[in-house]
Amino acid sequence: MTEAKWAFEVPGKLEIPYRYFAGTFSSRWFRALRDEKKILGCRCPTCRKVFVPPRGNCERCLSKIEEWVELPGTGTVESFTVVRYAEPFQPHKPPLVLAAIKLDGADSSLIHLLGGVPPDQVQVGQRVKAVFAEERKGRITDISHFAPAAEAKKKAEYKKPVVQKTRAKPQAKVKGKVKKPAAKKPVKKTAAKKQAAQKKAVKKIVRKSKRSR
Amino acid sequence: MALATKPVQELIEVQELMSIPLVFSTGPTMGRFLAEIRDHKRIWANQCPNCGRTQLPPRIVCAECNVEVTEWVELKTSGQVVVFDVVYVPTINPLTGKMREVPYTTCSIKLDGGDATLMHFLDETDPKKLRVGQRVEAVFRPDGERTGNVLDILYFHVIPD
Repeated sequence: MTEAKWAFEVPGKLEIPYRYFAGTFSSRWFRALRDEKKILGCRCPTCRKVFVPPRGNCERCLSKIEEWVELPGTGTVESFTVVRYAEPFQPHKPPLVLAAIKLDGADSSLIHLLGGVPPDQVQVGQRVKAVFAEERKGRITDISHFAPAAEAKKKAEYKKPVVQKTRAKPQAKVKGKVKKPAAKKPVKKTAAKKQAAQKKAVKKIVRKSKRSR
Repeated sequence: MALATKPVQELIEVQELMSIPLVFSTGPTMGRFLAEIRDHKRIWANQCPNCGRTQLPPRIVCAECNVEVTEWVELKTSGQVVVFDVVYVPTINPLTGKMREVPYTTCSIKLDGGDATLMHFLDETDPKKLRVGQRVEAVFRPDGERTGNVLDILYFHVIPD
């Protein structure tokens, strides 16, 4: 057995370069962040859900999303966690507050940093507002953090979009007593009548062919 | 025609270098091998008491007979090439995060004094000047710069015939 005194530690590191491509759809979202200081959401054409961060296809019904919605930048804390250890890749020194923020007008939540509030005073349901970085590069860090908003709670309440149904059923109910199915009854054809109709059609074709000769 | 009228959109791309600090614990067996290179510029292998084969880099157990290896032998820093590879495809070096300079030669070297082979780099990149059985000698990093890494041996220098 080799003696344990020989063991020692060698310092090392792993450097991994990587590239992230936002793609044709999500690039629009990052451009709006950088150039206009706006948080956009994308709305599914079928189930009308609004997603932030955006995605090209709806996660529920898989339909293609093309509609963009502008969001006010305010939201509510849905859930949060406090990071108390330091790692070199973290943007700030601990403690950090990471929160899932449901933006007004959105149906999904965005995970981001919470600032301007002590970690022990963060609450679920707290109103927050996006604070943009002064120098923006087209990244998620263009939103510096979310800070508590002092505004009234009901002010920014979101109105759900009215779902348009393809069939106009309510109209039939208004008329009430009129029975539409009764009018449809005569449409039914018996087998004998169908045969007669076919014979007529054949005769017409024969006549037409005679004329053309 | 639709393509011509469509406005050109800027596509967003993020380039980052993920840097992960780590520590490699050598353990006693690998530790002795690396410490001898670091402190004395010597290459030591361990020898199986059962079959007598030497292992490089040394391992606690003999890979052939599953016996715990306790004996140590010093090998010479010169040897001969068993197999070599000239690499022309650049790959990312995880120690620096940059592309490796090409071409470079990796080889398996059988050191004098034992039958163990060690994988390392050669300083010759022309495959016409290399052959199996070529004599090579280890070139160490200068004193004071060796840290216990296997790259304390910089490369093996090819001795011309």
